[in-house]
Amino acid sequence: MIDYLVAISIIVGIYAIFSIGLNLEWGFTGLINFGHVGFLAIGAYTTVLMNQSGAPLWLSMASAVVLAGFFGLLVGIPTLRLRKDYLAIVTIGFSEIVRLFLLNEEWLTRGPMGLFGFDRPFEAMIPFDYNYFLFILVFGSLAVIYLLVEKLVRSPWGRVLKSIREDEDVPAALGKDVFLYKIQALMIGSAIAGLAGAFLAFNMQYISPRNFIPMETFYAWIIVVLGGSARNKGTILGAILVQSFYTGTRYLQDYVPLASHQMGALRVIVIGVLLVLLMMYKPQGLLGRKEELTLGQ
Amino acid sequence: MKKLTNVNTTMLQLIVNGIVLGSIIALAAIGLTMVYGVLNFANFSHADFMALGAYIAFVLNVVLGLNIILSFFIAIAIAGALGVLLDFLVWKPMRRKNADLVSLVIVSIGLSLIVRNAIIFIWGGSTRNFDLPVQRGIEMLGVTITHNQLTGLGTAILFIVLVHFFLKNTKIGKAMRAISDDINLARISGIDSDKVIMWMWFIGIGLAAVAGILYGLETTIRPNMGWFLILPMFAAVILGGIGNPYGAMVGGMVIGLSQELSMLILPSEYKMGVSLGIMILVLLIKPEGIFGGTKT
Amino acid sequence: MVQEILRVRDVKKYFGGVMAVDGASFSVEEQTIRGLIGANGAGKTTLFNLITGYYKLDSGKIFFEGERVDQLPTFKKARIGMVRTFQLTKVLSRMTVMENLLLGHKMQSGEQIHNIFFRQKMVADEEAGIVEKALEKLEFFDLIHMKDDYAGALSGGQKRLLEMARALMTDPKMLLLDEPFAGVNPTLAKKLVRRIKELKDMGMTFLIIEHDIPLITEVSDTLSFMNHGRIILEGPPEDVKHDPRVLDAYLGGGS
Repeated sequence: MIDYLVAISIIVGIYAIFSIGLNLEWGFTGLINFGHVGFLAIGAYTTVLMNQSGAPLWLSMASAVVLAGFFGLLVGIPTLRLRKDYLAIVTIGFSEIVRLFLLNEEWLTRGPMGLFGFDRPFEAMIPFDYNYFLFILVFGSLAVIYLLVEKLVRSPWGRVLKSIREDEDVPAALGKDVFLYKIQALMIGSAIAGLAGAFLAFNMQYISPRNFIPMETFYAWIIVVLGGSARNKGTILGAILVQSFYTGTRYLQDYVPLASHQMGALRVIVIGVLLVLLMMYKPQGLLGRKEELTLGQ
Repeated sequence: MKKLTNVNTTMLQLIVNGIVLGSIIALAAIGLTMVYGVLNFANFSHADFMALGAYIAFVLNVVLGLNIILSFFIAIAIAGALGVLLDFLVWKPMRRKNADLVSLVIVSIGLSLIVRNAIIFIWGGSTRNFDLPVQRGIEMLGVTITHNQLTGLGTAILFIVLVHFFLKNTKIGKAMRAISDDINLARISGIDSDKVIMWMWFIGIGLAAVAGILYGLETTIRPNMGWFLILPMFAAVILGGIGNPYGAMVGGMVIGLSQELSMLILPSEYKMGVSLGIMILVLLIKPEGIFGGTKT
Repeated sequence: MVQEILRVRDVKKYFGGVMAVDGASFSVEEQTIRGLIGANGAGKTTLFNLITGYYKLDSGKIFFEGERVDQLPTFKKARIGMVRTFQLTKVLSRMTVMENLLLGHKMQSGEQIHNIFFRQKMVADEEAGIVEKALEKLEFFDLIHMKDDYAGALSGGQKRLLEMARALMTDPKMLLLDEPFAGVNPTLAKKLVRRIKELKDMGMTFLIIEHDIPLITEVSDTLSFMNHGRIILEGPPEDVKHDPRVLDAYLGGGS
């Protein structure tokens, strides 16, 4: 039972890290990133591919994070000076192109067959069940990322981000280079997603393009919106709730006369409905502050 | 890397395919750009209503046995009605709350998830097809055009002409253009924006359904079919200028042709990349689109 | 020798069929208060938007402290000292009054990521100084009791004051105020007029759009009258006020 909980918790931790990256972009800066999974994929594949070609794990992970951040820069350059929804459209395209690349460039990625057989941090040295170590690693990283991001958003830098989210004409009128801040937020959020990708690879010990479909981005979105945009604690809570929902419905499967594809579809329908209802009636999510949002317009 | 090597890769064939695809994208893009222009947000569920339209027509045609033309028109009417229903349930309440652009986009994603998965829930993930007699294509100049492609093209052109007529000559069409330009000014001039918006949804989603049915005719019907076109649709809208239906028509054709012709140099799996590439190019050089839209 | 701080030459802006600004030219001397008046639709706010880079010029030139600036983006203009407030107030509703003000201070080291992690003491000290500065502004504008409230909860007049206070946090050389007195009670308005004059004496230049003629007359050294997208008339407030063209515009069609 404990083993099972540990396994589930690792997934929660990975999604929490992934979603905190999105929260920085969306919750704090107001950037609509619908391609977040693309950076997850870049993180996972870079870690694995580099490691498989002989690079030490720490270097592979560091490269994964940096490369993911770099692609954040690339995506941001044509879009961040323009309307918010341009970023949304381009990022969806970006994550799909990444997935198509991973699927088709079999010489590099083995395409749909995926990759397995790569190192995991300190694997040889752990005498007990590796999952326990992975749990510590993931949640330790989550704690560090949480603290770092909190420090950032409570700083004057974070203040500028929030002002951009509220009305970017204002920081511009006060002399802030809005584009630069948006790029920084996008790069950091993408780098965090890259790290989550590395952990994803370690957890599943096998990655394939199928793990990096757009739905993953929208899981992060529901986690952030449910927990409360711009509340990192809320994001963690959201990750716990969404994963519980997911696992819970897996159990329900046995008692309900639905085929598995139907169960899966129903799950996503519930998430979609939740997203719509939250945005319509409780956009501040669970931990957000209501007064903040009623003042919006 | 796979490249097509059979007879069908002649440029002419690609152009024909491109025109057919382009007309479908154009139809889809018109509805999308209308919503953009009038309500000022990117409706990410548009593509899934294309799929829904195809499935509704499928049910009418294959399950209920109605002939394809009847199914076609009933399906687009139902889809249009759904569009209006959604306005009443979701979009109008959000307008009343002065919801910002971002909230609307996120809601549209939620709707997209719901529609697509409702389709999977009801009909499963496998591909379906309309109940039509299998016919040989027409061969001309070394190029094959299937009957479905011809019907698709003809229908698309018919609807594009209808849209043009609607926008230029009807009161509602003109009102829509006015609202696109400046909603406050339009309201002051006495336009009942709520009523116009209802019509806009009816037509926009109806057109999406037309595009979906034609796409299902041309390829197959499957739950993800909308997602294959979401990028080209948005690329067409941005290329033509947000809020500009004529821009969307031209944009659609350009994107369709570019995607097909790209097969001469790119593996066909990356067709979507062409749309993305064109879109990014437009955003870098002239973000308001070739013809300039109503929104920048 | 009085220096021109702002020079606007033959600026034009065209909005899909309408010439909103049709060849406007004028100059503002350093350390003066210039009032910009005109009926609704004369193009005053558009001109502001053009000067500050919020809109792109269709043609014309703008010089600030002798340097050509019309091609600069808004934020660069703010950095060199040209700051504006907005006609429809843009307070950051979901941030507190205090946060709104703290944002205004220019060139904060805490706005750079590397400083946040590696020069924490410097950032903290600087922040304390900025807080002091903000408190002083809040005192003056009578907003101190609301400093921790969300800016969205303020009344219309208070929001206008917040915007001005925030703009002052940037230590501007020239402040462009768009209807700063709208919705502000007469006592506070008088206090504002006095403060603007004080700031002028300390070196600041002002360009103010205002519809309240008595108020703008009291605060300005010179008035510029705008109509149909052009600066028609300039001069001492008393003269401009009584010019038949001005009277005609105000009584004829404007506010």
